[in-house]
Amino acid sequence: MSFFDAVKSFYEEHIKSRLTSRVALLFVTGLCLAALFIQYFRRSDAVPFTEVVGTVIVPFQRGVNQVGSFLFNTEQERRTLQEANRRIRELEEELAALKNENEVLQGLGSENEELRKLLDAKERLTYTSVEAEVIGNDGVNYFERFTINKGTLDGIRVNMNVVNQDGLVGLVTETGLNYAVVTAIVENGVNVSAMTRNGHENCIVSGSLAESGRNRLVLKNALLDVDLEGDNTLVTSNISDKYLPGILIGYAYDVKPNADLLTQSGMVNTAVDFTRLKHVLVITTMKEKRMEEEG
Amino acid sequence: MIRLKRFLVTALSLTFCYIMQMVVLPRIPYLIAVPNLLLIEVLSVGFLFGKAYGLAVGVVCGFLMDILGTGTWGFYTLIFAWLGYGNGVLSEKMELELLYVLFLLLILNEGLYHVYVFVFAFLLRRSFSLPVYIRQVVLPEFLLTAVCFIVIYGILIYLSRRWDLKVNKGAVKVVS
Repeated sequence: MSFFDAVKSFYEEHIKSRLTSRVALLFVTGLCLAALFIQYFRRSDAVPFTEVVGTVIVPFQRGVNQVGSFLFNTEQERRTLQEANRRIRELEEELAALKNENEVLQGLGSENEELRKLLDAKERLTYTSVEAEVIGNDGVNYFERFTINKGTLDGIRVNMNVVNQDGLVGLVTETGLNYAVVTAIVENGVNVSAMTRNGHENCIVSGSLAESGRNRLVLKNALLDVDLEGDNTLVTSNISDKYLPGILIGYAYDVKPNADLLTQSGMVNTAVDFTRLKHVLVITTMKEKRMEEEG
Repeated sequence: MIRLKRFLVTALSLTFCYIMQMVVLPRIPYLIAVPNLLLIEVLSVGFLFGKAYGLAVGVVCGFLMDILGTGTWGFYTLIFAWLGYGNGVLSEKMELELLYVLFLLLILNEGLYHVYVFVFAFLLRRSFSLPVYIRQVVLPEFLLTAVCFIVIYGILIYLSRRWDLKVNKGAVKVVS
């Protein structure tokens, strides 16, 4: 038996049977590593590749989402009649209170307008926004990010603020032609600079893995003399470079002084329920631009 | 015929796991975690049908998570491909007859998966606390995954026994 025969028989015995899946594995590994490297070094606003692929994926993603809605429709349909009636009563009471409040506020509003005219103040800037639907998530337990069905074609850009009817949801962190990825403020390591509603005191609220799935943020760096027990409502701060000021974040609780006796820290219950997001608003007015406009 | 059945069983279970994990289970309020059904799928198929099937299912699962998720492309494909292939290779080497061996395998898979995620998704972004990660992510997920594993693997092994789909004889003795 020649050397070549030996090689051949060795190949047929030991290599040939494994060749296909092993080569396939190496091929897949190479492809993935290449993709990861490319994306790591080109993490810009819009990667053309993902933009193109997005046009194919988003309809698919919406389809999957609809299947999900069909199989398991949330909340509203599970609520019993009793609960619904109770809710109606609660809302009626709330409505009455709000009507009262609204009248007072309208008075204050017109007074404010007059005073502004007297002071010759610039027109108050209003925010423009785009409505979007949440169409996908990661299906894992450690990221608080989701995909929405609006992208650069609808004017969405990275760093735009995302809110819903309750308050601040997060920030657009990635865009495609017809989709965008939103990173919620409860994502581990996301910091938002916040202030009390009267705008006097600043602090930092951060998302933490330790509180994942509980709609909670960690509050840090509030000065000790700030009364967070009395007015515990926190809104986005003026000094933040990405978040527009005055958007409701949540309500502070369990605030305790730190050991340094200069600052206090605690927890924040977010105004938004991140476990049940379906529709969001992307505010297309951006903080940086606004600052430029105001000079 | 056997090939077709094997393909159908894999495709259907994959679709089921995918829809459940990505769409249905995240919508259930107050569920402590979302079980990692795709990992179960990769483990079971790789283990029952061999490494080629394991690899293919791993690539499909990972790819679905990548394209429909929000992360970096290739991240999940890479780990799932290796897990699927690895389980296929392991099933060739091991004569498995006991349930606890399967559980050890599940722990091994979950462990590798979470080490991978922790190192590349958390450690490199400089936000890491291993105890918090284990307590908040790994443990709740593992509890639910283990329960789901029994159900899904049980169904798959029942079907593969009924239609004689298995590639590795040893794997089937577990339930017999």
